[in-house]
Amino acid sequence: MSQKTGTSLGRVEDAAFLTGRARYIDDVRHPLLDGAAFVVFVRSTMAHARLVSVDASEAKNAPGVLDVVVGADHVVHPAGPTYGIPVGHVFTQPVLAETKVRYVGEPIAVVVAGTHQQAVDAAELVIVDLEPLVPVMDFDRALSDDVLLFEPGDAPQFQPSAGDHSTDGAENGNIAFETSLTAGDLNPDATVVVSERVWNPRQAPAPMEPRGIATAWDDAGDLHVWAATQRPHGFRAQLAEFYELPETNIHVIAPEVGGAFGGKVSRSVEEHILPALAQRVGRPIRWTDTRSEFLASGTQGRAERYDMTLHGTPDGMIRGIGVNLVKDLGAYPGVGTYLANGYTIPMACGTYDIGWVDFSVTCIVTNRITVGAFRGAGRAPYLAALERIIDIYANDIGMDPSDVRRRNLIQPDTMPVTTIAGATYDEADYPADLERVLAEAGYNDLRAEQVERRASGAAKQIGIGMASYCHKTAGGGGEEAHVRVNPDATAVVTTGTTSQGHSHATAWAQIASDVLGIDPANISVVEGNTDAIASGIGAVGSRSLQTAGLAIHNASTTIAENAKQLAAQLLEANASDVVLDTDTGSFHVVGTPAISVGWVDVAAEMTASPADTEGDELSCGEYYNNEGRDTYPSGAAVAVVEVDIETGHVRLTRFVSVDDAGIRVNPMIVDGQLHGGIANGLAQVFGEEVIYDDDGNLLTSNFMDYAIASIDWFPQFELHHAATASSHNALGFKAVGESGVMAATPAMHNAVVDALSHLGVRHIELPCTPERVWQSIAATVRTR
Amino acid sequence: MTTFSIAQSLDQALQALADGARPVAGGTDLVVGSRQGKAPLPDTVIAIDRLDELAGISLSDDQLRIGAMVTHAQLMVDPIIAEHFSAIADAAALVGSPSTRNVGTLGGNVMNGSPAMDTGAPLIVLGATAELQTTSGNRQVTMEELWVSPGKTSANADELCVALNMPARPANSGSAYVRLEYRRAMEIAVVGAAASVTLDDGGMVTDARVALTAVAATILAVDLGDALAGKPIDEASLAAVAKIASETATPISDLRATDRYRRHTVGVMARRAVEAAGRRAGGETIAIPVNRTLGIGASQ
Ligand SMILES: Cc1cc2nc3c(=O)[nH]c(=O)nc-3n(C[C@H](O)[C@H](O)[C@H](O)COP(=O)(O)OP(=O)(O)OC[C@H]3O[C@@H](n4cnc5c(N)ncnc54)[C@H](O)[C@@H]3O)c2cc1C
Repeated sequence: MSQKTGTSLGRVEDAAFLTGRARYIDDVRHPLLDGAAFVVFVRSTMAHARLVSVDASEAKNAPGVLDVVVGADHVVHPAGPTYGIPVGHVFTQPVLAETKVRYVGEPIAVVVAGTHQQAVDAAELVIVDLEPLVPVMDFDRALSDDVLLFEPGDAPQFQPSAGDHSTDGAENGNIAFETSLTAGDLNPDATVVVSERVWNPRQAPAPMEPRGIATAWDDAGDLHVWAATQRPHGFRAQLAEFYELPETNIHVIAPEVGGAFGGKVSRSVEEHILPALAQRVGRPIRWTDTRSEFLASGTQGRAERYDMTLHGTPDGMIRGIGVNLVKDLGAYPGVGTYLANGYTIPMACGTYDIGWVDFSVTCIVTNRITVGAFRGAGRAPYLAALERIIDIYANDIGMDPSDVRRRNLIQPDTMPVTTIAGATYDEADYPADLERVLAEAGYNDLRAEQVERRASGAAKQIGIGMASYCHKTAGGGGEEAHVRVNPDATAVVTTGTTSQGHSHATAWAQIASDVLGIDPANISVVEGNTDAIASGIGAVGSRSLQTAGLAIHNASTTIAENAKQLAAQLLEANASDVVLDTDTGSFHVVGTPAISVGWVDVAAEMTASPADTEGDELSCGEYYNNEGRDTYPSGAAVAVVEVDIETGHVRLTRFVSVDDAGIRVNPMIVDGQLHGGIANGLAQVFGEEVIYDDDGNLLTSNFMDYAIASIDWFPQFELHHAATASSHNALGFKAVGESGVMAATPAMHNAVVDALSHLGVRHIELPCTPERVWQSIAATVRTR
Repeated sequence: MTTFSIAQSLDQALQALADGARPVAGGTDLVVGSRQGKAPLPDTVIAIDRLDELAGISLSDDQLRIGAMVTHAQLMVDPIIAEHFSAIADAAALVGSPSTRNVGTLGGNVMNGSPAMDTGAPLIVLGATAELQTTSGNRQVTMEELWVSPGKTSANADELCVALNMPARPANSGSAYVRLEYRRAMEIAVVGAAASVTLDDGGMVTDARVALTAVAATILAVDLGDALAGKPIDEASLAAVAKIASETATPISDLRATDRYRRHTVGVMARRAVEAAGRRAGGETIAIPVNRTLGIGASQ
C-alpha cells in the first residue's frame, strides 16, 4: 500500500499513546529535576476585593517549607498584554496579586515545600485579608462603568523592563479594547430587518492533561523548562523577556502534551513564576495543576454576546449584516483581545455574498478568569451567531432555511474572492457542499417525517438544522522545518510547531516521504524542543500543515535535488538526467531504471567527496512564509435532533457533514480531527458552559458540574469530504483542526429550535439544556 | 491517619463496628467523597467485601434476599432481578460507569443515604427492608424508616447492613425505574421515579406504588390515593399519577435544575415509570434499563 499523501497511514504515535509509554510532564525524569520541590498556590476566594494583607509567617515555619512568596516580594516581572494588542498597561495581571484580586482563583501567594503534601498543609496557614468589592459579572454592568475593575494607578508596581508594552490603550475602566468595521453599501431593497441577541457562553478547554511545568537552573546559569505548552518557542521568548536572559540560555521542552485546545497557548502566571522560585530555593520545581485548579484558573474560551441584525429582501436575499459584539475577556486581557481584529471581523460574511457589513466589537473585563484561545477562537462564536440569524430570517419570511442559503452562498467561479470584510477566500464550492450534505442527509425525507411527527402530536418531535461555514486559518504566516537524511537512509524532520495530539509524527513523515521516497516508518519527527530548531509559532489556529508542511516539502525538495547531484556522480551521468523514484527511494538515469543507487550510496558519496561538496547537502532548513495568503477550510453540516417536549431533553440522532480541508495528507487523521471538533462544537449545544454565580464564584469547577461532553451524546458522525486544492500554497493544503466546531454548534442549535418552531419557539440560548428547552416551550404555551 | 483492615469474618466486622470502625464496601462514596473533601476518612475503616454472609442473591417462596455486597454490575444482569424486580436492575444499570458498577454495592448505595441514589425508589416500591445486624442482634427496617435526611440514616453506628429483603412478587406484577439524566454515564439523577404495578386478569390495577428520586431530602414514597387502584393504566390515570407526583415533590434548585423544572419532570418520570411497569406487568419484555427504550437520556 502506498504511504504517501492521500493515504490513511496508521499513526506512528499510537503505539506509545495506547500502551502508556508516551511521556507527559509528570513522567519527565531528568538529572536536573532530581530532588524537585513542589508548589501550591494560595488563591483568592473572592471575585473582586482589595488585598489588605497577606501573612505568610506561620506558613514559612511549617514543616518542609522552603519558601513562601507573595506579590509584594516582586520576584519576577509580570507579562503585560501580548500579541501587540493596544491594551493599556493597567490591565496587566501581577504574577501574584498586589493590591486587588479580580477573580476567584487568582494567585495571591505560593508555597514551596519538599513534598506536595507539605505545600498543601502550609498553604492553609497563609492568612489573607480581603476587603470585598462589588463583583462585575454582568456584561451590562461592566459596560456601564458603574464599578471599575481597573482604576487609575492600579497597574502592577513592578514593571517589566524590556519588550513591547504598548500603553496607547485605555488606562482604566472596564473596556480594554474597541474596534469596528463598516463596509459596502446596503441595498435599499432590504426591507426585512431581523434582530436577535445570540449568546455564545464560556466554554472550558478541557485537555486530559491540565497545565504542568518542571523547571531547573543548571550550574552554568541556563534555565531548563519542561512545559505542557502549545508554543515552546513562544514560551521561551516570554521567559527570556521577563527573566532578562538571552533565548539561547533558555531550553524549553514540550514533551507529549495531553491535549490543549487553546488552553495551553498562553503562559499563565503560575507557569511564569516557577523558574523564579526554583532560583530562590536553589532546587528544581515541579507543578501540575488539578482538574479543578485548571477549571478555576487556566484560560477559557468563547464568552461572546452578539446582537445580530440581518437586512434582507422578502424573497430571501441577504443584503447586510449588523453586528454588535461584546466580548468578555475575563479579568485580565489576554490573547482573546487579539481575536476581534485578527479573526472575527474578517469572517463577517461567512460563506455568503453580502453587500454591507457594520461590525462593532467591545472587549470588556469582568471578574472571571481570562478568556484565551479555544478551538475555533474568534470565528466559531461569530459563525454560530450568523447561522442562527439566517435561520431566524428564513423562519420570519416563511422560506426553507436551505433555500435562503442557496440564494446567498458565494459562487465557486468567483474564487478566490475578497469579501467586503477584507478576507480573501481561496478555492472552494460552498453551494456544492450544501447540496451534497442535504442529499446525504435525505433532507426532503426528513422534512416529510417532521410534518408527520408534528401532525401526530407525539411527545418526541424532530428538528433539522444546517449550517455552512468557512474559516480563516494559518495565522502568523510561517514556520520553519529542518530535514536531514542520515547515512543509513533514515530521515529526521524537525519543526517548531509541535503536536498536542495532532499526529504530526505521521503526517510530517508522509510529506517528506512523498518527496524523498523514504518509507515514512524510517522518518522520525522531532518537535517541542527549542534547542532542536531556532523558531516556531506553534499548533494554534489550524496552521501547522499549511505552514510547516510546506517548509518540510521545500526542504525535502532541496535535499532531493542535492542528492541527484551526488547520484549523478555515482551514475556518471548529468544531474539533469537523474530522477528520484519516490516509490523505491532510488536514483537512476531517465529511461534506465535497472541501474540505480539508493540514499545510502548517495550519503556515502557525500562523505567520501567532501572536496566536491559545499557541506551537508542532505540536510536542509527552510522557513516557509505564506505572505498573508491564508487558507479557508469550509463545509456544511446537517444535524437532526429529537426533542422530548415533555422534559426538554434533546437527543442528537444524526450529524452529517461535508468538509473541505483542501488536499488531505492523511484522510484518517482528518477524520479524527473532525470527530473531535464536531464533538467540541456540539457540546456547546448540549450543555458545556462555565457558570459563575452573581458573586463571582465558579460553580462548574469539576466534571460533574461542568457538563463535559460525553460520548453517549453523539451518534456516529456521517462524514463526507470535498478536497478542493487551495491556490494559496503550492500543495493545495487548507486545514482541519478547528473545522469540525464551525458548523456543529449552529447546525445542532438550529435543529433544536426547528424542532419547536411549530410551537412558536424562535430562539433558545446556548447551551440548550433540557430545562432551558422546556422553559422555552412553556413560555410559548403561556403566551399562546 | 486512617487505619484500614479487612474483615475475615462477619463477627470480626461486627466487633470492629462496635469498636467504632466504619465499614467500607466498594468505597465509591466513602473514598471518593473524602478525596473530594466532603468528609475526611474515618479513623478506622474495615473492609467488608470478603464476607460470604453479605454476598449473593437468593429467592425463596416468599422473599428475595440481596446481600449488601452485591454490586450494581451483578444486579443489572441477574436473571431473577431483571425478570421479577426489574426496577432494581433498571436503576443499577444507570449507576456511574462500568467501573463504578463493578465495585459499588447495593448496601453502600442504601447506607450512604443520598436523596439522589438510584436504587432507593425501586427498593421502596418493592417493599424492601434493610437487615441491620450488630454483635447482639438483628433487625429489619423499612426504607422509609431508614432514610432520615441527606446522607443520614437511622441505623446506629454499630449496625451493619447485611442484606436487603423484599417480598416475592405476585403474579402479573411489573416494576420500572426511569431517571432524567443529562448524560448517560457518570451522571447524578436530575430526578427519577420508580413504579410497581400489579394487574388483575382484566388489566385493572390491583396494587400500584410510586417513589421519587432527587426531589426531597430523602427518597420519597408517593401516596397514590385512588389514582390507579381498580383502574386501567390509561391517559387519565397516568395524568393523575403525574399530577400527584409533582405535588408530592419538594425539590430544591441547584446548578443542574430549578425546583420548578424538577417538580414538572418528576411527574413526567412517574407517569413513564408507571406506564413501563404496567407494560411489564402485562407480560411485555422491556430491555434493562428501561430508560433507553423510552428514549430518555442520551443519544446512543
Ligand atoms: C463516578 C461515580 C458515579 C456514581 N454514579 C452513581 C449513580 O449514577 N447513582 C447512584 O445512586 N450512585 C452513584 N454513585 C455513588 C456510589 O457509587 C453508589 O452509591 C454505590 O452504590 C456506593 O456503594 P459502595 O459499595 O461503593 O459504598 P461505600 O463507599 O463503600 O460506602 C458508602 C457508605 O455506606 C456505608 N456502608 C457501606 N456498606 C455498608 C454496610 N453493608 N452496612 C453499613 N454501612 C455500609 C459506608 O460506611 C459509607 O458510609 C457514583 C459514584 C461515583 C464515584
